[in-house]
Formats: sequence, C-alpha cells, structure tokens
Amino acid sequence: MVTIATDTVKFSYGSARVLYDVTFRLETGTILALVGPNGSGKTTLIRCIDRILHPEGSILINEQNIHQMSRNDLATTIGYVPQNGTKIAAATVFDVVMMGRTPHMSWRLGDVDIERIEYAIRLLGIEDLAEREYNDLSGGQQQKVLIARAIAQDPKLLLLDEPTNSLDIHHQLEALATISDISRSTGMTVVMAVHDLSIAARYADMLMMLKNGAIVAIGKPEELITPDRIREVYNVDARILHDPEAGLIVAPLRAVVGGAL
Amino acid sequence: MSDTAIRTGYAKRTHIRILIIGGLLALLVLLTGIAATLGSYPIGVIEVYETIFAGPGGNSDISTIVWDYRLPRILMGILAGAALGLAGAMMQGILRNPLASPFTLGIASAASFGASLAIVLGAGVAAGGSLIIGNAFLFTLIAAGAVYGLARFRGITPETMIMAGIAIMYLFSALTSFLQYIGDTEDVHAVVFWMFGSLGRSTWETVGVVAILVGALFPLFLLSARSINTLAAGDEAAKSLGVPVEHIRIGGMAGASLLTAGVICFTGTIGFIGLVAPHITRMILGGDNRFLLPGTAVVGALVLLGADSIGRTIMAPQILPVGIMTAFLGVPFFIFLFLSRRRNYW
Amino acid sequence: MKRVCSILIALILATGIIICPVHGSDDYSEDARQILATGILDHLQGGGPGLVMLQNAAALYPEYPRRITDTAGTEFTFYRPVERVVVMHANAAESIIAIGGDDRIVGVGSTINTNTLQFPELSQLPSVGKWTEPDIEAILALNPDLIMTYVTWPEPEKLERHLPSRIPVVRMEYYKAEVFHEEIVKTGRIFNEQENTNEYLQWYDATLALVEDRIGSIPYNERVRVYAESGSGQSFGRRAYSEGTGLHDLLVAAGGVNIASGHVTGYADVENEWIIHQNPDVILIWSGKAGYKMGERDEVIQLYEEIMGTPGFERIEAVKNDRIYIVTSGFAFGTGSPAALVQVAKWLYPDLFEYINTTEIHAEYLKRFTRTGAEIHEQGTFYYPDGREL
Repeated sequence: MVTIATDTVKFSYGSARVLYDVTFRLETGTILALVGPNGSGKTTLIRCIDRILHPEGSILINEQNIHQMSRNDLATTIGYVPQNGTKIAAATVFDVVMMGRTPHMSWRLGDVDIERIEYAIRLLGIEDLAEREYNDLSGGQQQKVLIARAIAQDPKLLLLDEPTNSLDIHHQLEALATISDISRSTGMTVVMAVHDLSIAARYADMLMMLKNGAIVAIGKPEELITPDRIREVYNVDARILHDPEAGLIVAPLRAVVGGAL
Repeated sequence: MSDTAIRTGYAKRTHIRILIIGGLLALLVLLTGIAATLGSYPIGVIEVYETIFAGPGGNSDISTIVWDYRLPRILMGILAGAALGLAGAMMQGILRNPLASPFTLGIASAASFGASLAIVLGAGVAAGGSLIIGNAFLFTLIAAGAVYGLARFRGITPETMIMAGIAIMYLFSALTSFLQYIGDTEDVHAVVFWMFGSLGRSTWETVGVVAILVGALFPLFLLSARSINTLAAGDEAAKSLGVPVEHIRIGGMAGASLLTAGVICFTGTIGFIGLVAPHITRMILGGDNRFLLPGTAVVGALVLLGADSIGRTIMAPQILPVGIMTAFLGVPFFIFLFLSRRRNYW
Repeated sequence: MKRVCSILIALILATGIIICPVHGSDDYSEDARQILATGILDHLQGGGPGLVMLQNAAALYPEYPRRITDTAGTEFTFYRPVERVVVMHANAAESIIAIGGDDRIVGVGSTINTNTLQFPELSQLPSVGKWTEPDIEAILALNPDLIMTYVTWPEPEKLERHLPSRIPVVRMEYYKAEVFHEEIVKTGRIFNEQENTNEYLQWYDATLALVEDRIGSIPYNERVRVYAESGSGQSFGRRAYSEGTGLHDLLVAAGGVNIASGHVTGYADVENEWIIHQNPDVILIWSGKAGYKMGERDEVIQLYEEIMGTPGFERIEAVKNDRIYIVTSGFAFGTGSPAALVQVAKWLYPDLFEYINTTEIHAEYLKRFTRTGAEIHEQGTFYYPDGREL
C-alpha cells in the first residue's frame, strides 16, 4: 500500500502558473478530497501525480520519485479515472474495463484478469451493460465504466477527477460508497477532486482546499469547513449544518458581491 | 448477468472470432487454389496442380507459366493485400481515426512521387525498374520521417500527425502533378499507369522481399495489439494504464510506413485496401486489435487476390488494373456491411 | 460619299468577275468565283467579310479566295495567303516543313521549342504554351492570321473562346493514316505551296505503293502474326496494342496480322502467358524514346533485351528467330511514316523486299522533307535493329 509525499510541486502551462509549491503527505488508506473553485488546480495536481504532466518539485510514491518509475510500474500502482467525455470507438463495456488490465496482463487474458474484470463490473453494477458499445451509453453509465476500469487495474492509489459529476444522487452515493469500501478493506489510498463540499466531507478522511493553484488548508473535514473558509475560498456566504445521519452539510446562502475568484 | 455469464460471454466471443478468422483463412486457401488455375493460357486444373507438385524448373510453357507468372502473382496479391490491410489497421488504431490510411497520410503519394521522379527525370521507362523501386521506397520513408518530424514540434498526437500527413500528401501530389506537367507524353503515361497499381511485375524476388517485411512486422504488430486497444481510450488514459503512447505511435507509424513502402514500390499505388480492409474486418470481428490485425491481414489478402483474379479473367486477355478492380469489389461489400449492421463501429 | 464609292468599286469588280468567262474549268477557280461573288453581294447588303478582304482576294483572283474544311469539319475561307501562323503541335510542324511552309510560322507550341534537333529553326520561335494549355496572351502578341492545332486539343473553351473570330483555328491531326493524305493537300492549299506539296505526295504515294504492290496479294493465312506492344520495361505491364492505335494500323498496312486483334480494343495490359500461348512470329515494339532525341538509344535497346529476358519467351517463334523490332514515334507516325511502313514490311517479309534499301528511303526522307542536320542523319536512332553497333 502506498503513501504519497509531494514537495514544492509547481506547474505552469507556458507562462501561466497553475500550481504553486504544493507540499503534502498522505498516509496509506487515506481518502483525500481536493476541493476548491474552478481553476484552482485540482485536476492539474491529479495529472501531476499520475505523471501525465511533468511538474517541478518532487512527488514520491512510497518514498520513490515517480520519475524514476517505469510507466508500467506506475500503472500497476496508480489508477486514474479521468473526467468522462472521451469517446472510445469500437469498444464494448467489457473491452473498456479490460483496458484496466493492460499493465498486468500478457497478450492473452488470464484467469486472474477475467476475475478482476468480473469483480469490477459487478462492483459498479454494470453487468447488464457488459456487451454494449461504450459510446452508446449515457454519461453516468460511462462514468461507472471508467471507475470499473480503474478498479480492474487493481491500483494501490486511485486518482479520481470529478468521478460523480454525471451521476444522479443515488448513483453518486453508491459509487462513492463503493470506493470508500474498497479503500477501507484493502488500504487503497484515494485522491479525488470533488465539487460538492457535503459529499467531500462525508466520504473523505482528509480535505485539501485549493485556490489559485495553492493549498489554502489541509485537514479533517469538520475542522476545515467553516463559514469563514468558504467565504475566503469561494466568495460565498454559507451555513454549516449537522445532520445525525448525513453529517456535515454545507448550505450555500449567497455569492459575495464584488468577490473575485 | 452472473459472473460466469461475463466469463462465458467473453470466451464465446473469442471462440467465434477465432472461428471467423479460421474461416477467412480457409476461404483464402480456396481462392488461392482457384486463382492458380485462372489465366489466358489454357491449362487444365489437374495439370496446374501436377506442375505445382512437380516443383519449379520444368522446361515447358506450363511450368514457366505456373512457376514464373501465376504463383508469384498470387503470392504477391496475398502478401500485398495483407501488408496494406495491416498498415491501414495500424494507422487507424494509433491515430484513432477511421480515415487514416497509407493514402490519407501522404505515404502513397510520396511513393508515387518517387516513382514519377525516376520515370520522368531518371533513366526512364525501360531502364528504370530498380530505380523506380528504390525511389518509391526512399520517398515513402522520407514522407514518414517528415510527418514524424513535423508532428514532433507539437507533440506526437493523432491530430498533429494527421495534419502533418495531409500537408505531406498535398505537397507530394503537387510535386507529382508538376512532374507530369513537365514530363514527356510517354513518361506521363508511365506515371499514370504506375499509379494504377499492378501485380503483373511480381517475381519471386519481390515476393520474397515483401514476405520478409510482413513476416518481421506482423508479429510486432500483434504484440502491440493490446496497447493499441488501450490507446482508443485517449492518450492520457492510455498513459495512466501503462502504455508508452509515443513509442507505440512512432513505432506503429514506422512499421506501417515500411510495410506500405515495401509493397507499393513493387506494385504501384494500390489504393483503398489500406482504408477499407480494416473497416470490413472491424464490422465482422469488432474492434479488439488482437483479432482485428490478423483478421485484416486475411481480409486484405482476400480482397486483393480476388480483385486481381477477376481483373485478369473477366475481359481476358485484357487485364483490368487491380487498383480499379479493388474499388469495384471492395466498395459494394463495404457499403453492404455499412448499411446492414447497426452497431457503432467508430 | 465614301460608301457610294466602295459600292461602286465592288460592283465593278463583281460584274468583272461575273461577266468574264473564267479561265480553265478547274473546281478551285469556280469555287473562288462563287465565294467572291457571294462575298461581294453580302457586302452590298451590309455583311460579308469586309472590303479589305474582298480587295485582297480580287487582286489574287482566281487563286483566291479559297475554301478549306479542316478535319474537325469546320469550313474556313482564306481571302489571301497566310503570313503569320502559330503551330501548336509537332505533328503539324513537321508536315508544314515537308511542304515548305515553315517560313510563315511565327509561334510554336512548347513541344516544338524543346525539340531542337528535329526543328532547328522553329524551336527558336516564341513559345505559345503547351499543346494542351495554350498561352492566349502569347498567341495574341504574335498577331497571327492562322492557328493550327489538333482536332480535340486544346479544347475550344481554352482556345477559340478567347480569340477574336477573325483568327481561324484550323484543327488537323497529321498523325492518323486515314486522313493524312487529305490533310497534306489542304495544308498545301492553306500555305499556297502546291508544287512542294505535290513533290512530297509523290514520294508518299510511291513509297506506299512499293509496299502495297508486294504484300497486297499475300493470302490472309500466310501473313505474319505479330504481337505489338509499347515498350513495357518494368514500370509498365505487358501492354498490347490493337485496333484503334497507330501501331496496329502500321503493322496491318505492312501486311501483318495483329494477334491482339479482336481481343483488345485500343491498348490494354495482357498476361505474359497469353503471348506465350499465342506464339507470334514477330514482336513489334513502339517506343516514345530516341528518334529525334539523342542519347536515348540505350533505352530502345533495353526494350529488346527485356523481351529476350522474359521467362518462357525463349519458346516463342519471334524470340527463337530473333524477330523483335522496335520503331520510335519519330519514325513510325506522321510525315515520315511511309519510310517506317517499308521498314516494317521488310521485317515481316524480308524476301519480298530483298532489293529495297529501306535505310536509303528514310535517309532520303530526312534529307528532302525535314530541316534536320547531320547529327540526326548520321546518329539518330529511329528503329532497332538498324544495322549499327550498340
């Protein structure tokens, strides 16, 4: 199982700096939710951790710099669920989930591979879609397939970029509960970018608030989410409620006039 | 659907795909057997096979015709069809584009230019056999290198490679047109004919060269099939799944270019197979490159051999150019499949 | 006042022509009389070719006006001899040279410019573009009174459409045997070179008769079977020539039977095995190389060697008996074609032409009817084998 440690990670698109000195450490089995307004650098940070982008500074997975790992080693360690929207031509749901086995399988699909594919498909409840073309599915269904693909990959660290933005509330709860269960039972570390603060607070062990590419705060949800911070980060007046079952609920009241994002 | 249903579903599909490829192979063997008996010199079916089993070197018309003309031509048809089909499937896969083929990416127009240059400015129609072959091959590699070099500036993505390929294609087409404009009437004639494509120049030597190319590259293509499958999910997803995206793309492009160059320098530009054989196969077998690549090789061979066999029979002794026959044969079949199947292929 | 004057002149001229019994009874002057009379009458009614033309023609009457119908079927009236001619293609140029009209050429197509050995003088004239792509501005700048081009090229949309109607565009081929004789006669009339024309046509007819007299009586089943192709090399397949091609016409006129006749229309690719099966007595190859171009002899010889080296051909009669012959386009078609015809006939029937010196006939043609120099006369490769060393 893995720990992540980053040290002063910086990243720029050309001259536009999008991440400033991001330094944090995450222990095995932790679920970290990245929150923050649009353009705060959540997706960029996730892509840096998966070495799709090449930032300055260092990112260590189990104390090993990701730049010293082979692509395949990285792929057996880290699973990545991108925001959906990419079409995948001439592929069934089974084919797409099978892609998750790419770093593990030989040319043939072995028994272990098939078991893992079956497990992922069942876990996401998409058995009935297995033979359907991926491109024919709804956005929510596609999102589940992409999560199943990452599960089939059997990663020790799962990165999710807005994994539930196409799902209805029923499926949001289901999908996040599934991910959370896996994390609890296998010690998989999770980093996910989430918009909904209430959802983030409920499923994450740790929250990282980002604004303009820098960390504003990192800590446990109940300590981190305060009306003042929400005002600071989002320019929104909000009330924090507590429900015995749902836990912490953020009720936004109004956008602060004149506040700049 | 239970666990076992998913598992048996996959096993069943795999089984069917292998059966289909086997069936196509059997069809190819049958067609080869028939093609050997076709020709404008009347030789009985039994006599043809007696000659084949007697081995080469017999001092008779029939032995010469079977061993020096029919067999090399048939084998070249099979190998060239397979190679062009593979090249097309590879390019469509690595570029995630259904319109990618050796033709749309400028590879074939570069070969045409190389051949034209040899015909118009070189030693000419008669003397230029090896010069034409060498030039066509050379310019194909130049085009592939130029596509790679141009794409390199903006990152090796499907978009950059296709844009670079189209630019290269127009450049070489324009250069060929220019040569035709300044060339002698006879030379222009030869250029046009070269561009039709023909299996008539096949010899055991050229068959051997193409066989070595296909033999060396086909296993490499098959090995990369899984990575190409994963590439369909997009470059970033493929990278995070452990695929060395740029290596696969550059290697695939180089392999496809080599195959194309190795074939069309001997046959002239036989169009269309590289584009259509992968699509026909995809409609029959689905998009999994582990089955698509071998399937495409067989379908390409079937289409080209079939087209050439018909082309040299229906108006015998006149031969209809194989490039034209390929289109006549392939397009209706393609349209039929396209209209009759509802699935989302691309 | 001026108008009355011109009518008066015209009337006087007209009555003169109509009243005077015209000398001789030949059709041309009768024709001229009618054209001129019609022209004058049209002019009086406000139409016609214009007074200048009528005056020109009247001065030259009864030689002019002349009416000529070109091979495309268009009728032209010439009221005076042509003086500034633009020639688009080499076939026309060599024919005009043969009848001695080339001193009136002022502009040429680019294929004539590049052909310096065949056209030492004409090649130096201003270019008017390619025979398929005329340069209209260059043509107009030369102020021509006649343009000569192929029947189908360039298309009228590219040529006539952009020219004032006073410039006639005469369309003739000069390479098709069936219309060649007639075209030469018309060309002689256009350039007013009857004497030279007759001289050339005498040579033409006499040479043709030489062949016809000898081969005319050979029964069909005794005629030599010929396979005709264009130099195949390795960039072509095996390309057979049959009905509708000049090569076919040539070999048939020389008394041969084309094995592709009835199997192939025009030209088409055939299989080597078909030729082995047909087993022709002679293989006749046409090459676009050499002829009036130097330094291409090797390419012609290569065609011969390619046939010799083709597997299985060693059992064909033509190859066994070394009867593989090559003619170049500069030799086989156009003005010099009678020399080629005798040569091919001699290849097919050596016994019948034993005492005919074909080399001499071609040399005579080059000397009398072309402007070529010593280089072409001594070193030109027009056919192969031609008795010279490699």
